[in-house]
Amino acid sequence: MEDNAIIGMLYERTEEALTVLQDRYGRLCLGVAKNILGSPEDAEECVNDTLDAVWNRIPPEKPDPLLPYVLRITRNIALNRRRAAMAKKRYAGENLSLETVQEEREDILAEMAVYDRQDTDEALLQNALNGFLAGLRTEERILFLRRYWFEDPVPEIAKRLGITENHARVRLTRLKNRLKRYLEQEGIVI
Amino acid sequence: MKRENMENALTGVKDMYIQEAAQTGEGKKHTRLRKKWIVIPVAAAMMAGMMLTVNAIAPVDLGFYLKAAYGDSYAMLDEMTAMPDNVAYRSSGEEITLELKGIMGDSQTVVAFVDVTVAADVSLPEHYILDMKLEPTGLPWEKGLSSYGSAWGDLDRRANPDGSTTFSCKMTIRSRDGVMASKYAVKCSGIRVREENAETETMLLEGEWNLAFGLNYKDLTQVIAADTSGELMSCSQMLLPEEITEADLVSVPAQVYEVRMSPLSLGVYWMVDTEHKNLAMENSPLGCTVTLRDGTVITKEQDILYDAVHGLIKLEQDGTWRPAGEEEKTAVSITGRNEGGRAEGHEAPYYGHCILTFDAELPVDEVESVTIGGLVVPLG
Repeated sequence: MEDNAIIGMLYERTEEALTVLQDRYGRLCLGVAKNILGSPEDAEECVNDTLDAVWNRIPPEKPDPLLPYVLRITRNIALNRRRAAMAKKRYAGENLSLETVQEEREDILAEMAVYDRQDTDEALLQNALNGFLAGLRTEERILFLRRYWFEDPVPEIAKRLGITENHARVRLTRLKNRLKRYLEQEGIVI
Repeated sequence: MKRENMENALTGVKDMYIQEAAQTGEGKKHTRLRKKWIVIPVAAAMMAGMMLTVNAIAPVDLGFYLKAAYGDSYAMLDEMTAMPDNVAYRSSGEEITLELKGIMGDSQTVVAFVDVTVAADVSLPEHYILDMKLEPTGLPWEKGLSSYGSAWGDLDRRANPDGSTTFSCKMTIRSRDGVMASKYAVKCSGIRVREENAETETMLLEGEWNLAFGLNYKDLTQVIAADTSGELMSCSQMLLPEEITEADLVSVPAQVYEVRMSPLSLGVYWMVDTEHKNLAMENSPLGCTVTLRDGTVITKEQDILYDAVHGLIKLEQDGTWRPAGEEEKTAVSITGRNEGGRAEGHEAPYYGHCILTFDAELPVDEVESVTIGGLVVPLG
């Protein structure tokens, strides 16, 4: 079923739309949620919350394309949960490290060393990121986003792109360096 | 910068980048089809030997459907048509190359339509094509492709009244990716036996044939273009699984899900939501009526695939067709195409399309309405 048909069903308040949506994009959403949250159970919940959010937002919203819209909702929900979990850990004084919240997972943004400093204008940063991404070759862009947007583990990205893990790591390092230089050129302090 | 700033900013990057990354390398558990229609205008000066290169992702599941229009001429290139003389098409899996020769007519532009059909388990982004370039090759034109199809098996040959020969055989089609075995009945003319081995009961057929409907695109590219050396003749032929009987070639309600228009063609993409497994070969909508703005009605009653199989119409190498015995092509020609029925199985729904190709005297904007298989095609 095409996206516009799903949206049509949502506009008609046909609940089957959610089943179709889950069949179509549920696995992708689950992947994002699981990458961010680590726990399969939390990820499942996150996907359910995503479907709920889609149901509540469409209508009036009419996203085109639908997939990024849905994935973005998932990512936002998952990030909020992760932040909440981290805050809870901090409040409880258990451990201040993000790594604990994420258990054995890698702290992906720590690779970029871009956080926990001063507040940055997110709109400005987003524009800069779009500019940076536009300047990348497609495969580089996919590599970057699979790592930092979808938070895929490097071995999985390598497999997805048909390159070696080492190759993926080297390219990611270069991309991080390029991003830092790009953001500095754009006047964004990191 | 706070971590949250970066996370939020990343979340909000452009849709196309997210979609592109989301669908890269997705598996092939479930097959769906998406198409990309790309138009590249090129200055006429570049036309003396040019090359269109498409790099795409998800190569494992890629199949391509190419169209090229240049000047006043139009050619449809895909797996079910032989290559026109001035077009060469090569595929190496990850990259397809389309070469066009010469300037046709006096048009100042050439337009290459690349309609890429991709099988993947999620919808593909518009941007899944990594890059496309169209550039002069600087090389003299060389006709051609040198691959040829091969068939092995227990052949049951039967001469037909129209001079063609029907081979009923189990064909093994060797492709670059290995071997794909399927059971087919082959009706064709112009194919000859190149080698026959009684001991192994194998036979190598040679000819210019057209492996058409129901086969997997990527596997076809290596076999559709025959070796044009020797005495090979052109042929029109269809493939039909032996299991499919005439009774199976039934009309099944379809629904149009997309209409695409180009200056010289109208693509109607339809879907049959059925689990009728044998429809993999035949689900072309039945009959087509084109009504022009001046009131002229052009009707094609035939079930294209059925009639081609049974010799009632003749398929041309460029994919057009005409009733058998009629030498004049009509203003509208139609090709049908099945896009469903994967090798792994026959999961509904099936997809397909008809391409209505209009000649220069009948541009598509003269069309008032189109009905295919009882469906009124929305042209708006």
